Amino acid sequence: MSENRKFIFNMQAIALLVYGISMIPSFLMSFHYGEIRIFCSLFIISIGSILFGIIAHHLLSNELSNVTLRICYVTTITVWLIVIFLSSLPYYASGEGYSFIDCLYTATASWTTCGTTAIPIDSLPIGLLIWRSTCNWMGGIGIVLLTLTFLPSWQFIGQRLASTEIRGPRFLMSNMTFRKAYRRIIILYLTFTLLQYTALRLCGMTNLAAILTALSNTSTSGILHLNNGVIAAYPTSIKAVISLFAFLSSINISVFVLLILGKFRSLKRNTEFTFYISYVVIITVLFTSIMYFEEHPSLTLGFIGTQLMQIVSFTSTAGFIVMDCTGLSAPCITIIIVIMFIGSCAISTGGGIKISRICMALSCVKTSMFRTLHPHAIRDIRYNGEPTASEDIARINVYILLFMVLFFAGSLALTIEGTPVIDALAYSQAMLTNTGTPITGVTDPSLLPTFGAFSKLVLSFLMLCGRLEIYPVLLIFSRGFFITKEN
Amino acid sequence: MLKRLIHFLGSFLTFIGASMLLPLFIALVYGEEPAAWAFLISMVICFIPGMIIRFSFKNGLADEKVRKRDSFIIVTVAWLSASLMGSLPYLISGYIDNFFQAFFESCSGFTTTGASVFTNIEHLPHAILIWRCFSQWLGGMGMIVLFTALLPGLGIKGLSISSAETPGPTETRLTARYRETARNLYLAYVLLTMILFVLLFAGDMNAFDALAHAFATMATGGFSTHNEGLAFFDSNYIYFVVGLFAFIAGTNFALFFDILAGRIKKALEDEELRLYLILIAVSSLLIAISLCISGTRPALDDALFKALFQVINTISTTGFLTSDFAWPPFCVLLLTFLMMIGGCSSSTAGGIKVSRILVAFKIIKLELKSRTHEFLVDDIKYNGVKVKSSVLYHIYTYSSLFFMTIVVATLLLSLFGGGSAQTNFLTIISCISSLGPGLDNLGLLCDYHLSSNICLLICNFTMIAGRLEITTMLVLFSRHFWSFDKTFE
Repeated sequence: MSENRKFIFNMQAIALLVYGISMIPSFLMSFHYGEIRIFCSLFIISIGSILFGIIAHHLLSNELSNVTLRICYVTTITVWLIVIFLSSLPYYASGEGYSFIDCLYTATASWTTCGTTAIPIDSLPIGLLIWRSTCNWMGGIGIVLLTLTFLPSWQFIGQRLASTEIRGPRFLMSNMTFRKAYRRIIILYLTFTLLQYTALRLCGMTNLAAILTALSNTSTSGILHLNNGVIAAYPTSIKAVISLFAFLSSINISVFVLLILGKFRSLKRNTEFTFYISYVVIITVLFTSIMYFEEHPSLTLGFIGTQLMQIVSFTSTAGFIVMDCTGLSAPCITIIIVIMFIGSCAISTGGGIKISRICMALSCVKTSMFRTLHPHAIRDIRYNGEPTASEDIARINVYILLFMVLFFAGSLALTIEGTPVIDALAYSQAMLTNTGTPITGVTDPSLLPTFGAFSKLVLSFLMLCGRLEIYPVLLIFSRGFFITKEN
Repeated sequence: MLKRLIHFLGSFLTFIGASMLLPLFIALVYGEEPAAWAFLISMVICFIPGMIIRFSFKNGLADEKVRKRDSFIIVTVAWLSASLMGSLPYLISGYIDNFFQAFFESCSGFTTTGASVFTNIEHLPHAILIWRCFSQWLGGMGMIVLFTALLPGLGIKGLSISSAETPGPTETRLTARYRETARNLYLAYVLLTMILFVLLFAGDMNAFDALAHAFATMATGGFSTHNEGLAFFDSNYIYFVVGLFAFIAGTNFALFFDILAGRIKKALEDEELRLYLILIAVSSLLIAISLCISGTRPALDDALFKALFQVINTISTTGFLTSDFAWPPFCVLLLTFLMMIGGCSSSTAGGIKVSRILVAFKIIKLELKSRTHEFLVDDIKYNGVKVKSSVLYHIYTYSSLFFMTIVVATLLLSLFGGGSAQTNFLTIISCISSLGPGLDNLGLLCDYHLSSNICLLICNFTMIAGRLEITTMLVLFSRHFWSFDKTFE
């Protein structure tokens, strides 16, 4: 067996180990609540994965100083496919009569932080609810990133491997070493989860609901377990806590590092962060103004706050509903569609195209306009005050193009089984941006279409593309991907 | 620059006035006195200020240099003034009493969009009907191109200005002098229109209908002389002829000169043409299969014929109305995408253009390759020639601006009382792609007459932006355009 192949299998083995360990709280909870069948299925899969992971890891463990990007892509996509497949098994083995495709769809949605489900959430046993939220939480940070903890030589290849899984353009990580970044990401992610759990408990939420919400919302997966994601009737304090943490999760993790280190000047110069804050404020003002002129309510702080929370829900791609959205007007719907596409910051748990890419694309347009008028002038595109390499600009533009191509192709594939055009466009967008809540579901949740097996596979594919930033998924369909030195 | 611009505007107004001679002649032939007066008055309104301006600003033009930035304002002003003057016959004849609706109708004509505020066109005089189609024909190949071909002594560099008007990322240059290129392009355009006229006349159409449909088809405009559009004739022969010429109008006109020069192999090897053919063939087949399976058109030959016609009608952004459009969602969405893609560069079609789509796919392919082969160094080639980085940047910018314009226009349309978000979105796509009728999930929508004045203005802006390849018009909103910084001159 070649060293590269050994490395891939080793990574898969470690991923299985992590997967098995992460299942422990779920089977303990199912045991606590007396769900014996669920407990058995979760226990067997968990212990089996742990044992298999340990044995395979010991047999395949190797020390590589470097791996190619191609191997990293193979590792990432295979690890993700394996954990998604295995995560669907507890639902299927639960004895509740769920079809396998529904289980697979739900597992994909959990890992990709879409948060949507093909299984009625109300009918899910508690053990599986915990498992679903655990998958959300791990999907938010990334299974490959978690497996690095168990890899002895991760400091050499970790950055390259993580870059195939982390959301957002790679060059943004250049302001800190990978080892430090890795530790800080893990610590911050855990801190946010714990803080959110504590805050929700203080606001009066039950223990189970607080655990589920903290796990799901930190990963911006949405909160389908709370009244199918419609929390309009919940107390304002709970809505505020959920929105606040969804917002924090949608910010680039390096912003918090700069905050901790007290580098406020760097923070002020951070293009993405300043753009994101102004963008959320402008969109909220616009959205609030439209709502105000349409409905003429009293302009209270509560009214403005509700609009802000609703906007944050979609900018972070969490996709929960804070207000009564039935019969939402056309301008509001247009705004929500646009912000879903734009998404959140890079290196956050949010989805979408990403703010950093939008910033760069806008700068590119601005510079291009200038060059059109002054063809002989020299002007570079700046990001965080630094000139950007033309390669990065090209990559960002290509990504946006690819994103739009996938969105159109996905919606076209969904119409094959007869899904209406508008629903197809809405679902394709919701899955690719990892929001999980289609715009048609926001305005009228009672009119959701029923999808066939093919459409569910298409939706799962789109979710995975959205979560892994398209390339790892598309590369396995590329002919050039399989051409190596050996063949 | 101001003198040059005003002098140009004067000449252009005269040109628009002169182009109204055809509808005036038609009005006289059919004895439509009110319409004849409307066109006569419109001509006078165009001629008198046009001639006065032309002669008043004749001196000192040689001292003024036309810069790149000036070409954008000249082209935009030309298209706006053409749409403005083109609306006069509708207003004076009284068939449209709202200025904004008349401006919309005229703008839709010149930009070859084919959207209309008329609900019943069969009661309109022949002169008005032919003006609608003739304005499309004038706008089809580009008014500046025609203007450059006919009036060379204006001191304006044809290539620099027409590049701001010609569809596609590349400039068509067949001869050393651009004036000759413009003449050749129009020669091919006139010749093809005449052939189409003869073929339609040989079918079930009378001379008037044949002329109007020849204008509208070659310009990929889609205006008709009947409420039912082409469905009125209910003839497969007409569908076939119109489809064939819409297909031709959607191809790069420069290829005809290769074919005429005996370079048939070179023309057929054109990558853009190949992709255009592949898109049409594959889409038609998929739509035909979908129509058969869904039972909309159970017979395969019938389904294939209808699918092929509708695909060509849509990808060339002609947008003729046909009898039924209650097609399955897959067909509707595929047609919407084809509408966005549009025809080839240097054709009369709208949309993003096949050449841009082709280069975009090549960029994506190279990016996928470079992700796995880290040290790969490769160029993007188009028709065997390396694509310059400036062209790649142009494509990035164009695609960003295309989506941004759709978003902003949809939002504005929604804000100012348009329909539902999805209808507004599809209407804007239809306008920016120069198709005309809006596609909904139910069928074709032609209710522009119900739109408010401001909504019509938004649609006008989108139509002109789409026809002028977005950048030409949007650059006027750039801060740099109005900051007269001499450093870069």
